[in-house]
Amino acid sequence: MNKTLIVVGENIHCTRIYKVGGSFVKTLDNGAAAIVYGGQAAPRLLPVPSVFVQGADWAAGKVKHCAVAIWQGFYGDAAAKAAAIDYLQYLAQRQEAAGAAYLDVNVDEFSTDVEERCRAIAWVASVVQSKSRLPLSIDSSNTAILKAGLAACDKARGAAMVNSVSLERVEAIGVAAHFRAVVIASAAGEKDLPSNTEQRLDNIGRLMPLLESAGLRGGAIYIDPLVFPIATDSNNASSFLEAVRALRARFGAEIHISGGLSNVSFGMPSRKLINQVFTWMALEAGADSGIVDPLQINGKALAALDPMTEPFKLARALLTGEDLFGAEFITAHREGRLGGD
Amino acid sequence: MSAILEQIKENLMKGKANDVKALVTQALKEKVGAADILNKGLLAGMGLIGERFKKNEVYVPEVLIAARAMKAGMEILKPALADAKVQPRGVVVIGTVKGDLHDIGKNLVGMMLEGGGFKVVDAGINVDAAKFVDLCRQNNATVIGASALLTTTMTNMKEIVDTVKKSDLAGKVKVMVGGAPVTQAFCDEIGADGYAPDAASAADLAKKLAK
Repeated sequence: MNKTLIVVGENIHCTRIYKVGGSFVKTLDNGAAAIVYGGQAAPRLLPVPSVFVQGADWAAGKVKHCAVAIWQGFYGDAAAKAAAIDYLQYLAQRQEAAGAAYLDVNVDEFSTDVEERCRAIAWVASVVQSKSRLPLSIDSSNTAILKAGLAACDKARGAAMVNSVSLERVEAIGVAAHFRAVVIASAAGEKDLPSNTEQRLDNIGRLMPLLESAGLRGGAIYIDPLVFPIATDSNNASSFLEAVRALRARFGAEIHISGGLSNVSFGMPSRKLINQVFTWMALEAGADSGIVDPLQINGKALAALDPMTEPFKLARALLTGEDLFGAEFITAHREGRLGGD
Repeated sequence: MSAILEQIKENLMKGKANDVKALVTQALKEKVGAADILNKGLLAGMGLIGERFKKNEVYVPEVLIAARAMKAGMEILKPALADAKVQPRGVVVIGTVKGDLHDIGKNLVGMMLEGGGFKVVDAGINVDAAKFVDLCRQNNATVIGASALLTTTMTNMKEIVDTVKKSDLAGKVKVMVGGAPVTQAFCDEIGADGYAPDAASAADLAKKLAK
């Protein structure tokens, strides 16, 4: 597959977790915990504050690493704050080096206090922009947080992105227009999420005039037909892909078509393989963008995919729905036939 | 008799709906008690699937087909359960909270609850506090399971807790909460009765709350 993919890097997100006891979380000699990053040659440490170590996530074997960084940036001592800034900039630079075009920033799960989250998104935006040249994608389901994030975006580096606007979230359209941002326009309806191709097309069809009247058109729009997990319904990938084909035919070459492509593999093993093959299929169907992990999904990784190999064929059969309930795919995973991950 | 119950359990765990149906039919013919078929066959199988799911040993589609096999077995078993006056463990009203349209997690919880022996009333998505309470009354439910995927909508869980507490259902109906942004700390903050981090844990929690 030799098509360019506009990657919206999804890694700076407060829901992202590391496993406690995994290779990214270390207990130091003094008993304190830290996030390990920066590569094996010269590992660097971000201390995990005790409020996280005493929490329920930690007890369940998980730690939200971006949330740790923001907490240290706000409430840590000088050394911890410096480590937090370094960590977030490291996440940004890695994604930029891997070919991301935008850096998505989501702090929605940092706390339940909207005011604190507004400060968090503005802080992360400024920290990240001081070491990366990329424009940001401000990702929130809350309009106040969108505004706070967009206000912190450096206007010199090209339009920021709003993730996302939809019939369910029309108020975000005005916010995006005010800040002259481009938009992820999702196929969510006013009252429900689309469950088939027709509903996706219908919702996008009704959203487009609202975008148009706010001055958003063509290349300023990244349509997200919405990706749902193949694990819960064998039609979920194919109805997304059909919608991509129809949207490309209907709205022409200039508009962008994107999506949270890694959602498709939720609840399945060998997620990286599924994500890569699904991205390949989305590009083939006419998408030109994805909200993904650029370290996993990038031009090089896609070019290296070989549709003739068994893992690729199994993943494709899973995604087309031919392999009902992923029975073959899961068996192949258990038998170690899917390769590296 | 225990051999056929074991077979029901095994086939349910493999998601073989037709085999489960045939085995339940055969067990009834052999005069195995309806309560035993339910508890030692169907529910035992779903319980094991739930345990394995919590340990990441089985994947979502495998839970789904096991739940489907359980439903198939239940259809055959229902008349016999009614004759034997076997009651469900209790009734749970589940739904995604007001303003939130996500239902994948909520549906998984519903399946695990049914696999735990509960009758499940699914209120759907975008459900406000009044509807949760109404459905509890109509169905004699003792537990509400409220789900949210967004930080902007999970705050609506507090209204459900408060509405129950102010109503005649106070003390009789327990509220459990879950969904990606929800935490134990948030559950405590809004005064809900319990928090479950995943679908299998939600079924365990409901068993405790329904007592």
